[in-house]
Amino acid sequence: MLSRTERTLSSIILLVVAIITLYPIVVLVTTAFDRVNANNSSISFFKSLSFSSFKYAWTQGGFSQYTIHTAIMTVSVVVGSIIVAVLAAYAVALLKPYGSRILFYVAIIGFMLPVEVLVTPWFYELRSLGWLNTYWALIIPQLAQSVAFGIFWMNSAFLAVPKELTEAAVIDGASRADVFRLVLLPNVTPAIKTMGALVFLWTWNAFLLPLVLVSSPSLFVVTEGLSNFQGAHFNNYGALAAGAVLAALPVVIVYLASQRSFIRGMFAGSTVG
Amino acid sequence: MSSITLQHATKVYPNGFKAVDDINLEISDGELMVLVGPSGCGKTTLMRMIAGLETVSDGKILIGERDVTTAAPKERDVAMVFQNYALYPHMTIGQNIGFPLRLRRVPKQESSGKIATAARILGLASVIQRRPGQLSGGQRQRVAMGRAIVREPSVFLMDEPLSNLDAKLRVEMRTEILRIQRRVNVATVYVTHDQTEAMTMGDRVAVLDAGRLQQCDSPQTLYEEPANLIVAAFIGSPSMNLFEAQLSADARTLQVGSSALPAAAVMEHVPGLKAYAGRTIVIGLRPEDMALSTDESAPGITGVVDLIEALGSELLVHFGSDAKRVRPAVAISADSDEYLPEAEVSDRDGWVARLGARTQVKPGDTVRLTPDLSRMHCFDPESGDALR
Repeated sequence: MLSRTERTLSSIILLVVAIITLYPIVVLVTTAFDRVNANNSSISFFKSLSFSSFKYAWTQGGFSQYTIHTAIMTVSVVVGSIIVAVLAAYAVALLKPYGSRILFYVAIIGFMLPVEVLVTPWFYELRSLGWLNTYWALIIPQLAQSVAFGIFWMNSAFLAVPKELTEAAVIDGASRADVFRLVLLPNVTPAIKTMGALVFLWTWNAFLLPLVLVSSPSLFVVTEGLSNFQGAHFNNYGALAAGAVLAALPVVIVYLASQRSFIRGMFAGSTVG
Repeated sequence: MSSITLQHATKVYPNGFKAVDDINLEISDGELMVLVGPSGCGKTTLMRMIAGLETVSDGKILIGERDVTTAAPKERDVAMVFQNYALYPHMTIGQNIGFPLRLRRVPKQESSGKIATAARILGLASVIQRRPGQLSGGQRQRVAMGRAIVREPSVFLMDEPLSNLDAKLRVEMRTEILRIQRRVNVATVYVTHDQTEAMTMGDRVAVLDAGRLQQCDSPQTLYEEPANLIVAAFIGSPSMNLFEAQLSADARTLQVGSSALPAAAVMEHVPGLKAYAGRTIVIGLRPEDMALSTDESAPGITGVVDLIEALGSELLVHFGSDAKRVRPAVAISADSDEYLPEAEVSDRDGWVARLGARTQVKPGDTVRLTPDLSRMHCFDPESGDALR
């Protein structure tokens, strides 16, 4: 049991941390709701409640286009990586074909290498394929990293399903496809949801790879757009803040929507008994 | 409706470990055969071989007339109840029970009828819409039984189905499983490490140790005529008193420590004992085959009481003597914390006698117990085989 002093002290510490964390976010959001003003180079704090900065960022700032590009990239990567990683992890974890362990370790290396190491080879590779400044350049490198992570993530999810469940299904008359579809998939769904949410966050927030591989503004994603926008509107804080809020909004929505399965998936391995 | 025949069934793992060694066994239609033995004796492996979950290294397995040695599990028409029930956590109880029917594409109306019947027989009708996580251990056990009986298999396999239940529920479920088995009336293989379960449930009991079949017979025969030391030590609770004895050269007396017992009374039912004149043998006495004696001249074993377990209806009196106790080397896997035969876990070197509840003894008393020599067992000390 914590003593009264300890409890008070920990509450104070939590409060201070919360203020430090929340202050910039509150400032950002309230500034974004300020009226659009080309010469507003100061932050505003609950000065007004206007959507004009958002409108400006969305139309003049090009965020409508950036959001579409980012959404196409993110949805492709999330869907593609789930399909490939789930099937590959199933094979690695349970079917264990010859050489699958090697594939597994290659996958681990794939997502452990920092993106800064991989960006140059990707650039030359995609340039030789003529894919720079195309959707391929946005999707393929992200997909590769996400699949690598997904195989690692889903491998442990498949291994956590008790062996008796698949054996019981086999004795009950299930084919291999039945076992996968009717027994394994429903049991790893929380892990798939968590993986999807994580890949969504990483892909939506990706900056370095799109920056290097897509230099044409006609295919900018939100992070690139935001960086560009900052350069062009360094004295328009309202518009900048609105752009940042627009860029971050989908991530926040996905996080809040998947919060429960997100946390559950994170701790799944520790509680399966 | 089929029998199960095992012909020289053998399982050798890639590392060379022989888990099941040349087992011949026939389980007739409707019979409940219990496979019992300590951990690592190969009983579960043998059952998994029948189910098709383990390949057979050598020998044959027949279900009915059909050789299923290499058949896939689903072609064998077996149903299995797992130790941890293996219920599908994402399905309701009804869906769990009906899963084998769904895979067989049984028409919905027919399958709902069968599910409802199974649920009613097992007392699960009120929880059919729930999920396994919301059920008690006993209920989950019944769902696993339901899933097994709903498809009317030719063979029923149960792998330690009661080991996760508490003692009281285990006794209840024992009778329930027996009732269901009699009702479906198919050849059933029941694996357990609990010899009480084996004795109370099996039409016949097969005792396994180190992958080999030690003896297969009715529970009563196993208890009264164990084929060797391993069976003698494993069957019965408390287990049989096993001690070294020296048969005199003239085959007249059996010397057990400092106590001398007349050999003639033993030889009446163990004529083979005569051949051991002048040699050491192992004698076995069930705890209930010893009685407290006040007659100093009567042949008996003298010892000092060190512990009394009062069970209400009887007393288990543990006493030490100068005789040398024998502990058969029952194979036990090192990584298991499962049941071990008493002969292995008890650190007492003494005897156990089952005496009447009102017997006046207390720890520290010197007692003299007369064995019922007509019920004494004798074993060869090298091979462990019973002398007949």
